[in-house]
Amino acid sequence: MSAPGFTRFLGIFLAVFAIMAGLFAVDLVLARLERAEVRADAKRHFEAGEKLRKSGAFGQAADEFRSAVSVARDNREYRVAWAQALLDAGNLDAASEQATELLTRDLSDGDANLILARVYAKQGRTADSTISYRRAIYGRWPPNSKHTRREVRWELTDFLSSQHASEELLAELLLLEAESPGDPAVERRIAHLYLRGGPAERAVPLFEDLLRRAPNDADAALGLAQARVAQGNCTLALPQWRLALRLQPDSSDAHEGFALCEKALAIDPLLRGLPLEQRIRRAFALLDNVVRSAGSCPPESLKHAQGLLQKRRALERDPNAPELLLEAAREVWNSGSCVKPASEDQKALSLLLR
Amino acid sequence: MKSSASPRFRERVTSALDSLRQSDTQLSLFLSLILGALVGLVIVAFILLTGRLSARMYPPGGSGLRRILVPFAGSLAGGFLLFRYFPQARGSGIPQTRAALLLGEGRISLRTVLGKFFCCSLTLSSGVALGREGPSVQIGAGIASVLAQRLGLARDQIRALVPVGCAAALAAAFNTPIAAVLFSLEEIMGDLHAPVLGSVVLASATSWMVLHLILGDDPLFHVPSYQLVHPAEFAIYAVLGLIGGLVSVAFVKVLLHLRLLFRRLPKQSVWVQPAIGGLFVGLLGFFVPDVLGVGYAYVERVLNGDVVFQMVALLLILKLAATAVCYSSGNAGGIFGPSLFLGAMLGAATGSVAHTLFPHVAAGPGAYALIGMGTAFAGIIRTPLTSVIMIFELTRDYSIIVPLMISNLISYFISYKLQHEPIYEALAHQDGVHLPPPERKQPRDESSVASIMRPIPALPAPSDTLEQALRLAREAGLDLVPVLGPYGALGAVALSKLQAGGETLASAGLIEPAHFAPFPHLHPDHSQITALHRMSSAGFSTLPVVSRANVRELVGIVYSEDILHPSKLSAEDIE
Repeated sequence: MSAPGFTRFLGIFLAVFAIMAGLFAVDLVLARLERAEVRADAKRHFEAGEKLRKSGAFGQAADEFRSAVSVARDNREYRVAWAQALLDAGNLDAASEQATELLTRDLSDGDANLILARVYAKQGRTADSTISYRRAIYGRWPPNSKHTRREVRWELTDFLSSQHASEELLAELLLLEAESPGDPAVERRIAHLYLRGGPAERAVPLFEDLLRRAPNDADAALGLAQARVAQGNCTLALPQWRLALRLQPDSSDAHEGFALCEKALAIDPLLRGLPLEQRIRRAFALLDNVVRSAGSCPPESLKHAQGLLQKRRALERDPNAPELLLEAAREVWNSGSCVKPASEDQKALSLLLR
Repeated sequence: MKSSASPRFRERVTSALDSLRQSDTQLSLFLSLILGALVGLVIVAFILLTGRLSARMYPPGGSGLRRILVPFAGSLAGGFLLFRYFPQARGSGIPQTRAALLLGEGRISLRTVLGKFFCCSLTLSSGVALGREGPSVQIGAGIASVLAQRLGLARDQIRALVPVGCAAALAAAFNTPIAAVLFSLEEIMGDLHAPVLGSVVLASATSWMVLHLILGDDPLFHVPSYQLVHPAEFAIYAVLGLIGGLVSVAFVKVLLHLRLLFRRLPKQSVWVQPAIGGLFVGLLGFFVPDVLGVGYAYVERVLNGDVVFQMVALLLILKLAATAVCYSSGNAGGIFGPSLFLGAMLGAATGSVAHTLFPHVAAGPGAYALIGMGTAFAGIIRTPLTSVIMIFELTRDYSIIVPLMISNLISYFISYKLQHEPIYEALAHQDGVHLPPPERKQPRDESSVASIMRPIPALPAPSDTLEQALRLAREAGLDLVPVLGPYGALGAVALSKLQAGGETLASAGLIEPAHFAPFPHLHPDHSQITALHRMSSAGFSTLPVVSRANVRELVGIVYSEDILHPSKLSAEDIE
């Protein structure tokens, strides 16, 4: 074994250390340059993806966002955009995968939970979607996010309304009402949501409030009329239909609603102000119509109603007869799908007998 | 006034340095640390430089004409530099490193290191379809060798540092410190129990730390976590191993065959041959840009499940052709990276088919692409242990270890059966270098051929007549007569074919002056028993002895009578 001379040894290592120092500096410069260029490359892809997304080319946008993510893996914004583009392009599994990837980094990520909620909604998984929406609402939202908690809550309410999930919807709408008391736009939206999927009676005070502020608000008049009809109260609905027609003469909804209520009121045996005789006559006519519509129903389900029909004379002067007969008609009406009224009668009967 | 501590401190430092340079073990460990850091810094610079240059030379979305011209120009310039200034920097670097270690006492010149660095940077960044890891190994080995030579270390110390440099280079190039150690031992040294294990580990770890300090902790490929879907998947992975083995063999055979064809071209064209590879890959890249370069970005997409069957199948074929042509035409670059690419495409294609046929059994194509990488690596490079660990380290996904092992083993077995000689040895053979198998010791021992071979007698040239050749053969007592050309042995002629006559050896068709014809031979480190076996199987009682570093370089002649002399052999040897 040969030991190198001391001076040579020292000299070589000093040279090596000097070279290493120089290389280290060069490497740092090159690494910084690479990071800067990679970031710029990723940004370029992201911006191209945004343009494509805005033009509706979601598939191509997803490709651009994917390229951005592949060079800037830690950039949350790019991954969120990618996940959303995948969702918009209908690629639910891939969107779910990216949203899940974001959630592994931060379980309370608002955007990620929102995307997952939308994926579940499209997959028909109502319960999972609701949970994810709620996580999104109470999650973390960075300042540069495209969404706010409020918007997400609105989206959830729209979803719950479409699913007719009344109880969950009510909870969310109450929260929204509490957040913006007296805001007409919010009130209007909430009222319509109540109409669509929630307890309709809760829409009444909201529409009334809107009309109070703006008596010529055709939408509020229409909404109030619909709410009254949903309550089963055509008496109160009729003036609202008239108002709606006055404000929007071309509204087919208003025309239909008005005609329906008129028809319902024309056969309603319990209409206030009618003399007893007329009420009883209407009640018998109603029951008779329903029994005839239930021809294919089992005889035992019609026994009570038919018995009442045969007691016409006995009930002619009975002040309780209208309610009794109406109740019997309701019983037959709700007995099952064997009841098949004439189509022009169905809506009016349904309104009276719900 | 100077403090009294100062001279004492200087004395202590001087004494420590002196003791360091006197102690073999301490010096070795110290050098391992230094080499780990130095090689790591160099390889990081190599990676960054190549990456930034390639982003400028053929940017994504660039014109098609650029994709043709840039690889052509880059490989033309690289070819000229290699021919004119850096002939030792040609090729992948692995067989050259092994040759330097096993036959060249571990000596690699600084010129080779610089040539490899700059020529590979040039060709790889111009889009040539080769990898950077093999060249990194030679650069790392070269740095270790140069430093050891500059320090005036002994031959054994220089040789011991070469695998240290290799491991440091691979750890930085691939971000795989464990695989780097295994590769150094399994492939470079051919001995997993090498005494330099400690130094190799230290250098690999140091290099890895340097890489992380500068570039951070990112695996080369980011992949989702894959799980085994169904136990029946093992059968599909076995099929992948089978297909991977066949594709590996096809790749190796195509590459070796093309290389032979290129080597038959006129020697004056050596400097322009790489440009043929560059032009070929450029033309392919005009239509399919993902063929250019090593293709890691596309591999990552495939590993993440972004697979279109037609595209991956096409890329498998095109990349195989591109890499084979680029390498065989003489471009500087390696085949590690392309092996991974081919494996990923193969795996993705197989996985695509499997997932379509058996959707409830087979995972997505991304999982198969991952396994495919290891399969092709095991089949082409033939380092099964390294390939398993490497894929694990590249992806940091432990869940695929068992399928990877199964697939790798099958691919390795198929490759071994159909292409017995590993690619690096085959490449060395084509260059006239016969690397010894791992158990062969370099130094002479008493039972080796070197101890009994006789000096080279006067031998005929192709222009000599048959009669002259016959006379020389009889004078020397040869029955297999080597024929010498201007660059060494051209071939050998059996004594029985020589007869009285005025025809020359060349005109009689016994020797081709322009081409080397392989002939039965021995190497100095062969045992005498091996010599007897070869003589018996070849049917000659004399055999020429040639250098392992150059099979055309005659070093002596062995006569069977010298082996069979009773004083030379023991009874055990005869049995």
